[in-house]
Amino acid sequence: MTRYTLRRLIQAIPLLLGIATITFVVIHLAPGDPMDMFLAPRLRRQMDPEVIELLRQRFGLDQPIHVQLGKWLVNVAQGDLGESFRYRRPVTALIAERIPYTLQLAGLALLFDALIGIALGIYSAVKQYSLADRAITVGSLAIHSIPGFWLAIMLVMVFSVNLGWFPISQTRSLDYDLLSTWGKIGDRLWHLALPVFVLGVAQAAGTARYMRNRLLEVLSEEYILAARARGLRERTVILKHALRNALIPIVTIYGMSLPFLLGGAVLIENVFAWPGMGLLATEAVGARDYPVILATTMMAAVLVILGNLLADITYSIVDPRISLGDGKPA
Amino acid sequence: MRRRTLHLLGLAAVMVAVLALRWDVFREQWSTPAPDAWIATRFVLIVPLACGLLILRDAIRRRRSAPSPDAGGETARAEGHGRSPYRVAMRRFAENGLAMGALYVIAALCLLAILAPLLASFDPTAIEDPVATRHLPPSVGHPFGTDEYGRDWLSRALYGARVSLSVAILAVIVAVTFGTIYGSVAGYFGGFVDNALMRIVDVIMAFPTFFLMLMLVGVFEANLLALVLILGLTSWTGTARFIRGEILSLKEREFIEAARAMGLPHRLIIFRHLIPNALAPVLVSAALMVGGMIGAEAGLSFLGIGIRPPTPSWGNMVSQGREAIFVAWWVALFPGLLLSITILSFNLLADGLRDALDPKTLMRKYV
Repeated sequence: MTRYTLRRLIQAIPLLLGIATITFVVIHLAPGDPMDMFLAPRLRRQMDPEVIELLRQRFGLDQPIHVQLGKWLVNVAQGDLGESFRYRRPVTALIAERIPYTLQLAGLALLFDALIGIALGIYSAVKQYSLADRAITVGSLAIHSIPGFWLAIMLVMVFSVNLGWFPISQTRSLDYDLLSTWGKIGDRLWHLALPVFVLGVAQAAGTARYMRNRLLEVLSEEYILAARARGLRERTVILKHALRNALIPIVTIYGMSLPFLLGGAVLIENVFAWPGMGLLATEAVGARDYPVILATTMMAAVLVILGNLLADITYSIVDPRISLGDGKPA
Repeated sequence: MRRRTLHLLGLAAVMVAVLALRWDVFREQWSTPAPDAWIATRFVLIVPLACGLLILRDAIRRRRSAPSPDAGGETARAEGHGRSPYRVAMRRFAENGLAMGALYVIAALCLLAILAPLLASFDPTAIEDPVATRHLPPSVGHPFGTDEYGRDWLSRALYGARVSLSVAILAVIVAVTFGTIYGSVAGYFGGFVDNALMRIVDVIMAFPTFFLMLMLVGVFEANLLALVLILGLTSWTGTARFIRGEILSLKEREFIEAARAMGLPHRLIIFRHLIPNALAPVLVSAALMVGGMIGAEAGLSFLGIGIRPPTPSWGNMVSQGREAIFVAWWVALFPGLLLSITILSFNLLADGLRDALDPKTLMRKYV
């Protein structure tokens, strides 16, 4: 198991290198001078050309491109992603501040997805062709098609503006600091309710569709027939025999849906002023804060890689048939 | 075949007639200097052009197959099927009510977009008397209400349809073309080329697409054309991957071996023999992708970095609606509703296409 994890980690290295390289390419394809990446254009216009030339040498921009790429990779590997124009702080520190918020949001959305999506999928498959099944199938396609940011606005309009059940945005109430520990957690969850629902429901719709098809496939297999022939209760057949096999590929689906989850989080964070990575990235785009734009994109890719790694490792644990490549089962 | 030609001719004629009779309405936009409106106004040409191309193709086919009208064989015709698998698929698609409904909705939306100048009773960008017409609720005169500048929301939505649909469709064309060529080159040549090309795909796929779009739009100040390219060039990896898979299995088949034995150049083998045979799943993914692209463009415009006002797009209209949630519910509601309906229609269309094109699902009941 450890060997497999280690091997997968090593395999991820070229991918990470590729990600840093693509980001570098984007910097160099950008219109205008690469100096813009280090100096805010506003500042630059007021400066003496000779000073700029000096700075260019200092930043190594006069060197051949492969040397620059090498330096960039070394910097990235050391966690040095430059300094934000807007906040005048290291980008790494900014991202470290924002990532927990995105992880809270995305993690709870995944949990919501797992609970609701899988349950609906099972119900829909067991009651195939019933009214509820049709409602779930059609409804999940419809929900999958609704843009999350619009759904979020509609929910805010109904539940926050008109009914006042949930906060409109932000992460905490005004009296947050006065609350007890449990009160704080409750307050945070209360603020998370709408964004998590919006982000999770689209995911759950996909999961339900997939789960339904998968369970139907498994239910038509012969060992299920055998289990029923042995006179086992339907409940046991479905929950013990069929579900276990049907659930395995879901792990991979979760790994694959991660990019969409993070992408969706960008918009949801914007609607709810949730200070995660997505909001940081959009603010940076608005302020032409190049180092932050590049770093957030890179971090998002790293999160996806880590997520996929986790999914693969989980997969190898839940499915003993998967060969780990070192000759022996997990 | 002939009846279809007639229908297409009729549609094309009506479109040309409408354009000719009301050219005064369209001309003004035609010569608009703003680059943002350029693509959207050329959208007008799509229907007559598409009809013309289809008629031409049918005519060529008929001429080619004229000397041997029995080429299809007796049994196929006795069962009422056409000759090619595509015609079988088309028939199966036509039997799928949900998918056909989606197709009609899409056609209607396209017509609305094309005829926007005739249907919109107000200028989508004109701000006449904001004090008098500001935030009017939906009524007969303004079915979708008005926004904070007093602009008619229905007129803006109609023009927004032009932008949203043309950006998405063009971006899909870019993505599918690039992905297909990339994937078939990788699959056909195999070995080192395949390895190198697919590693690049792996890296691009690791980026969450929306973040990638955000980065590119942020670094390259994007106008409409650049936006189309960015959307297209961040979304081709999926197509490339499965085209590669298809090609890998196709190239072992005898007919490719025959083509190679005949000494055909690689270019011809790829474009004439391999790609046409791998195209069915591309069609499905293209339809799915249109929905995704409309969503992505709307998302970027919602964040204020895709299509910028005053050019209307459904995304930036929703964004305007967010600022008005306390006073005017209709501003956010209607463009989002249109977005959802459009994306849903394209998803249903893709579902229908998949069922029609996949021989395995022939026996399965839909939903």
